[in-house]
Amino acid sequence: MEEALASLVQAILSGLAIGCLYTLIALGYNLTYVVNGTVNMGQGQLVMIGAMLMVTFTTFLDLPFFIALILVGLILGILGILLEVISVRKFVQDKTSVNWVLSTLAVGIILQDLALFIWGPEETRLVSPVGEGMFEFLGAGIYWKELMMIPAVGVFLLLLMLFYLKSHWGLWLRATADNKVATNLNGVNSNYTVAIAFGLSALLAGLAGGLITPIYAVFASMGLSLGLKAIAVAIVAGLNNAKGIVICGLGLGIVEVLVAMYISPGFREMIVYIVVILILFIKPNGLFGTKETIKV
Amino acid sequence: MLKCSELFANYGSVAALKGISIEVQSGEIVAVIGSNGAGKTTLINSILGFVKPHKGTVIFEGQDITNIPAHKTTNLGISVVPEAREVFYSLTVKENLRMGLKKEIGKVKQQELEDRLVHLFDTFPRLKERINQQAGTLSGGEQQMLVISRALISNPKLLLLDEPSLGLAPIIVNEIFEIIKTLKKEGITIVLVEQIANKALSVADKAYVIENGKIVMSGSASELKENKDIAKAYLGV
Ligand SMILES: Nc1ncnc2c1ncn2[C@@H]1O[C@H](COP(=O)(O)OP(=O)(O)O)[C@@H](O)[C@H]1O
Ligand SMILES: [Mg+2]
Repeated sequence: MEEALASLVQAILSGLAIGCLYTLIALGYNLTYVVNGTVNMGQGQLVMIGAMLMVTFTTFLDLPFFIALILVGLILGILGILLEVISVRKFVQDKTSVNWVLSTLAVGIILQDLALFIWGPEETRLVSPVGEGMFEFLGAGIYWKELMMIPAVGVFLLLLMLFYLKSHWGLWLRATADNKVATNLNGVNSNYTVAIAFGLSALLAGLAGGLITPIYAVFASMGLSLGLKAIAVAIVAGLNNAKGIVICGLGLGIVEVLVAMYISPGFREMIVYIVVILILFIKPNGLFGTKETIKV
Repeated sequence: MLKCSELFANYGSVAALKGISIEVQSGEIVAVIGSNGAGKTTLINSILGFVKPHKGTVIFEGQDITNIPAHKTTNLGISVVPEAREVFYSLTVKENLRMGLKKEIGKVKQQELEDRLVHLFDTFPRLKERINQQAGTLSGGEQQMLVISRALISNPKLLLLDEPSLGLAPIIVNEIFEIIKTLKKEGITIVLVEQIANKALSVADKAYVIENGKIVMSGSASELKENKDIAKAYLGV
């Protein structure tokens, strides 16, 4: 009985840890979706680039973990802005066009091939900044390196929320999401704020990629499955609902670990995607999403 | 202060402005009167840089702003109350007003913002009660007051009003014209686009009448008020 409880607690904690990362990536989709109605289909590859840069910065340049992490975030932020200019802006001028789906996917694949060329196909794993020790809790043991995700992501999300709700940059993003014409008529270039949204989105992908390095194998094609899972989280939650995405991201992490533990690791992804389809079948706008209503 | 010369603008192959010239002196209220589809909004949008005229120039305070986009012209001291209002429905009243600070938003200190709000609330007391309410929950009249305040909070030199009375109850329309009179006393320069000629002429110094993208008449407001043709066409007499 006690053992069962211990393993449940352990599963929930490691599920939360990985769920934090899904949340971070999925919020990236949310940021650009509300502002522009678009998402970066290459988001997963940005996570991979973040992870690769993290490995390079910490092992080859010997930078401390968190310094490297911030640096990775900033570099990815700039990459996200470039990505918007190159592969989104020209592709959304016609509202009904979905060319941006292909163009952002294409950039993702190009980045993946570049990473393969630069870093090779080998898997690497980073030495944990908090050691390989375990945290004992209610008889359960969880690696510190997993557990640290929770406060680290918590801090990032708090900063993001402050930025979004309190700074004038955040106001500009929310204004752009609400009404682009009005934004431009109030002296703010909406092209510029959309690019900022993509920069922020990529920054989140970079942070997730950096944070994942001590607990997951890093390799050039790791992006696709992460990107897909995160977009599943975003769509299931409702692309326009950030709170829902946090709940679903954490939920996905926990469900995955539970399925792996109690059913079979091999069924993990299959079951997750079956649930995704079921939910969308019943609630087409996602669990927490609201249908875009026409504003009068 | 503002000079539009020979503006031509098209939507695809449809000509909306066919050589419009208007001149606005500092401190004046200039009315642009015309019926639906005459080209009034296109003129405002050409001044703003929202529509690109294919011929002609817009000079504001000696600077050629013809091909400058709207997000830049609105930072030069030009504010607009658009015909479609363009309220940020999901933002609060206060956030809408902060957006009115434009690029200055980062520079205007908390105290300065409060002072400007207090000043606006003298004229728009109802916004004060609704300051933390979502703008989408306001009534049409309140939304128009919000948009006018948003245009004023940056202390603009030139205010463009595109049919501010459109779709509002008569009592609110009167209120808005009273506000325009107050603004005139404060010395702000205004271009007022209207379909209702008598209202517009009652506050304006000068007026242009436009029809089918062309100016068909212009003169001082008092002259035009006397004019029988205008009376027929726009006063419903
Ligand atoms: N976005 C647009 N696309 C095509 N035609 C337009 C557009 N906006 C206005 N027009 C046309 O241009 C002319 C002038 O319109 P507008 O400037 O809106 O007139 P007003 O503001 O005086 O009612 C009208 O014939 C109108 O149908
Ligand atoms: Mg109009």
